[in-house]
Formats: sequence, structure tokens, C-alpha cells
Amino acid sequence: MPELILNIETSTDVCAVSLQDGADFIGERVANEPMSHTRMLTVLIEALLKECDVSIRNLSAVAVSAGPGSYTGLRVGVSTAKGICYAGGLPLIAVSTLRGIADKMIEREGKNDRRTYYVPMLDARRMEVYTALYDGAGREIHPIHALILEEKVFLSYLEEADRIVVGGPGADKFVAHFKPSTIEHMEVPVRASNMIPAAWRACLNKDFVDLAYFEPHYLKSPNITISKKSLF
Amino acid sequence: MSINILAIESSCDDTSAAILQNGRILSNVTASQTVHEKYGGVVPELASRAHMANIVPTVELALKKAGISVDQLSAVAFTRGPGLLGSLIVGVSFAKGLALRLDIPLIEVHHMQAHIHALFIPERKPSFPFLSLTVSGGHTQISIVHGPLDIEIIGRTRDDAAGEAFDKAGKMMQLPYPAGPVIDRLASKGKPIFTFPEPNIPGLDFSFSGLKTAFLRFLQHHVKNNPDFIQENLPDICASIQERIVSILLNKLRLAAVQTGIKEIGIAGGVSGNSRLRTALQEHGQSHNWNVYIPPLEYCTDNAAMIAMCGYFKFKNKQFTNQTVTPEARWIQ
Ligand SMILES: Nc1ncnc2c1ncn2[C@@H]1O[C@H](COP(=O)(O)OP(=O)(O)O)[C@@H](O)[C@H]1O
Repeated sequence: MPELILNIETSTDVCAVSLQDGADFIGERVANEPMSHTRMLTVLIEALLKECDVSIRNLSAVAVSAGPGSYTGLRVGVSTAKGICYAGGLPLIAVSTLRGIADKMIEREGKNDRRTYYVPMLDARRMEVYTALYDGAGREIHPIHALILEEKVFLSYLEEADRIVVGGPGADKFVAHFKPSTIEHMEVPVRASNMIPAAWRACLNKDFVDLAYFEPHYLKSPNITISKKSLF
Repeated sequence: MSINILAIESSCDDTSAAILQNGRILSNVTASQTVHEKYGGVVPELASRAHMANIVPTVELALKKAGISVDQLSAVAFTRGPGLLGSLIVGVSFAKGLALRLDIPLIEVHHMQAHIHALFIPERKPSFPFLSLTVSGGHTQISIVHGPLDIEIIGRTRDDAAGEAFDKAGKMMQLPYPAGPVIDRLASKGKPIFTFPEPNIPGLDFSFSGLKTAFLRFLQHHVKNNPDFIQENLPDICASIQERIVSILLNKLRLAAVQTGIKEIGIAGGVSGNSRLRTALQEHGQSHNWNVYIPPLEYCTDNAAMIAMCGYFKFKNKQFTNQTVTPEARWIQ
């Protein structure tokens, strides 16, 4: 039975979609132009489906990157995914952007080594990143959190692990700034194909999110100031 | 075959969905957001988050009430703008995804044009050409409506909109947001005993900023002598500011009727829900021999039924958009 899953990744400047059949990659489309998500997302989906000769009627699920990341990007991705799922009666899968990057790193090393720690990072403002921690078996050691980068910020992990590998757009900033000697770096771009392992796991476990009430990881509560200036 | 249109409105702080069949509204469901009240205005980030949580249940309920399934839809109409970008993005993206999966056309709708289309929802409809006074939180316009999609704006506000005038006056009196309906309610218990100047703007354009300043000075002056002035006189103050806003609107509308010779007159937009404006327009209509058209209250404030009605006219004209469409926060007509 084919399990065609459409993956949508819009949490950063990259607007990307990919298609998988079960655990296997079929195709991917990427637009790198920032601020183009509202225009490009469904156009990329149409092009990808055509290129792969898949009818949108044959999809079995849609997976969307749940963040963390750009609020606007996440809104475009999640709202579009909800529209497709609602129209087709399809289940919705949510994949953390950081989990996707970590899966990619683990897959590339192909070691399944519990004594290696993987630190995927997404760029936030200034020296801040969004990050989480996974071991080589894919277990989550620390959930998603915001972190201010400092030189020694990951060194305590070496008490538990033999190696630390950082990756993702936020890691590029970390490495460029601190040039750490004890920490390894893997360049991993944000891509919809990063989502394939997690989307497939969710599909097998029927780990779907509620279509109506699902919201992306905003991570921060909105910053609202109320003017208290008196008129009299 | 029936024409079934799903319409989605998410331009500000209400998530609304409606179903239209062959020009008749079958359902109109609106999820209003109350989270903004304590901030004294719409908080864009909160509005966008609420749309995300409301969009599916709202669409689902609209379909259910209409007894229509998604597979029976002929097209999806959506508000493209103007409005808050973060809010529009949710409705536009959802509509695009839905249309893509169903392989049906997308129809973009201009929110302000659609306010006028609320006048086509009731059985009794204006005939062309008619004049429309469109008054909302963001706009104040007089238009000649030559045909459903042929709207000529002949007057507009130079600064604040009429709804804004209500809301800002309310804020000065520390009334909750949006203050328009609150002033309306309080005014019914008062008398317009205080007077405010009529702005001196030639032609059919409006201005409300002078009134805003005059109102603030008036309050400051009285509060200095009596700190409880506002509380003690609230109904009368509300009736007075409401009376002036309504008279500014109607004086311009009367001028437009004289200049154009048109006697078919409608009002639309959130402020057209104002009870004083509604009765004053009826009275004007009687004394000036106008045929007056006032939409039912649920079609005055933001709603998807008006988007559906506009979408229906565009559907018949085959005015479709494609998947590259983006929201337009400042969409100029
Ligand atoms: N009964 C009323 N009297 C006066 N103003 C009202 C009344 N009901 C709504 N309003 C005003 O209408 C505005 C909202 O209009 P609406 O058409 O819903 O908004 P938008 O500008 O988003 O199209 C607000 O400024 C509100 O205070």
C-alpha cells in the first residue's frame, strides 16, 4: 500500500516541499527567496506533484514543520497544510524543524551511537538560537528551548557523551564566532526532505495532530505593551 | 448544477466562513476574538494565533449548517485585503490549500468592496446605480455602485475612519474596545446636549481628526472642574458624540445624493450597525424621498457572507485568481 506523504517546511527563509512514499524520498522543491512563502508554497507543491507524476488526490497525509522558526513562515505552512488536509480528509503530522535537522545528521553519520550528541540549531536574533539535544539513537535528551550562545555552552555535554556534533543554520553562527576545537560541525540546510524519517515514524505510530486546534511552536508569548499614559 | 461557494474572511479579529448557493446565503459563522478587549485594541499577533485555532472549526460549522460537503464546492472566495497581514495570511493560505486539493477556482475579494455586497444579501436589494456609504473601523467612503463589480468611490476620509472616531472617543472615556457598540448602547439612555463643531471639508470627503481633538479638549476642560464629569454624564456624552458623527456622515451623504441625483441609498460596514445612524437614515429617506437599504446587523461587521456574495458575482464573470495570489494588507481599490 503506498503511503504518500507531502512534507512542508516553511519555518525559515527556505520554502521547501518534498514527497515521500513510506520511508523513501521521491522528490523535493526548494525556493530560497526570503518572504516568498505566501506566494510560492502552493506553487511549489503543484510543481512537485507534477514532476513526480502524483495526483494530490492520492496523498495519504501531510506533514508540516511545526517550528520553532519564523512566525509568518510557520503560519503559511500550517494554514496551507490545514487547508489541504481539511479538503481531503487527511491526517496532519507535525515535525519539529530541529528534529528534522537532527535526523539528517544521524542519517548521514549512519552510526546509531548513543555516545554522540547532536545539537541542531536554528537562528534566532543576535547570539540567540533555538536548539534541542538528541543522542545518536534519536532519543531526545533536551526538548526545544531558546539559548544564548557562549563559547563553553555545550561543553558540559562532554561529561555524558564522547562527541558533540552541531548542525543547522544556527550552528553556522556558533562555529564562525567561537571556532570551538572540541565540537564537530556538520552543515545541514533546512529542507523538507529532513522531515522524511520523522513523518514516517509518525505515520506508523498514527501520531497525528488535531487538525482543528494544532498550532505551531511559537515558543515565545507575544510581547505586548499597554500604554498607561493618562489623558487628563 | 448549483453554484456552491465557500467564503473565508480573516482580515482583522474575526474568523468567519459562509456558504452561498446560487446567490443565496445558506450559512454564515463567525468566531469573534475577545482576547483583545483588555489591551484596548486588536493585537495583531494574538489575532493571527486565534485565526489559526479558529479556521477549521469555523469552516466546518459553516458547511454543516448549510448541509453541504466540501466535495460539492464550486469555488473558494477569500478576503485578500486590506487588513492585518498576519491575520490575512491564515485565511488566504488555508483557502489556497483547500482549493488546490479540491481542484476548484480561487476568488480574491476586496474587503471594502464586499461590505457593499452585504446590501445584496436580503430579498429587497437596491437597483443600479445606487449610492453606498461604507463606514467601518478602517474606512469611510461614499461610492456610486454602477453594477455589482463596478464601484466608483466619490468621497473618502482624509484621516480617521468613522469607526475609529467612535473607538478613539470611547478610549478617551475609558470604555472597552471596540467602543462603537458600547457608545451606541449608552447613548440610548442619554440626550445629545453637548455640541461639537462640524468639520469644514469641501466636497464629499470626510475628516474626523478635528472632532477627535475637540472631544478630548471638551473632556479635559470638564474633568478639570469635576473629576467625575465623565462618569456622571456618560449617556449624554455618548449621545452627543454619536449625534455629531452620524450628522457628519449624513450631511455628506445628502450632498452626494444632490450632486448625483441618485435616490437609491444604502449603508454598509461595521458602523452601519449603529442604531442612531440606522434610524436617522430612515428618517432622511422619508423626508428626501430616498429608497433606503440597510443590511441586517450580522452582515454589517466583518462577516464571510458578504465575501461569498462578492465571490458569486466574480464567479459568474469567471474572475478567478491563481495559486500565486498573496495577501495585500494595503490593497488599494
Ligand atoms: N453599533 C455601532 N455603533 C458605532 N460603531 C460601531 C457599531 N458597531 C460596530 N461599530 C464600529 O465598527 C468598526 C468595525 O467595523 P468592521 O466593518 O467590522 O471593521 P473593519 O474596519 O475591519 O471592516 C469598529 O470601529 C466598531 O467600533
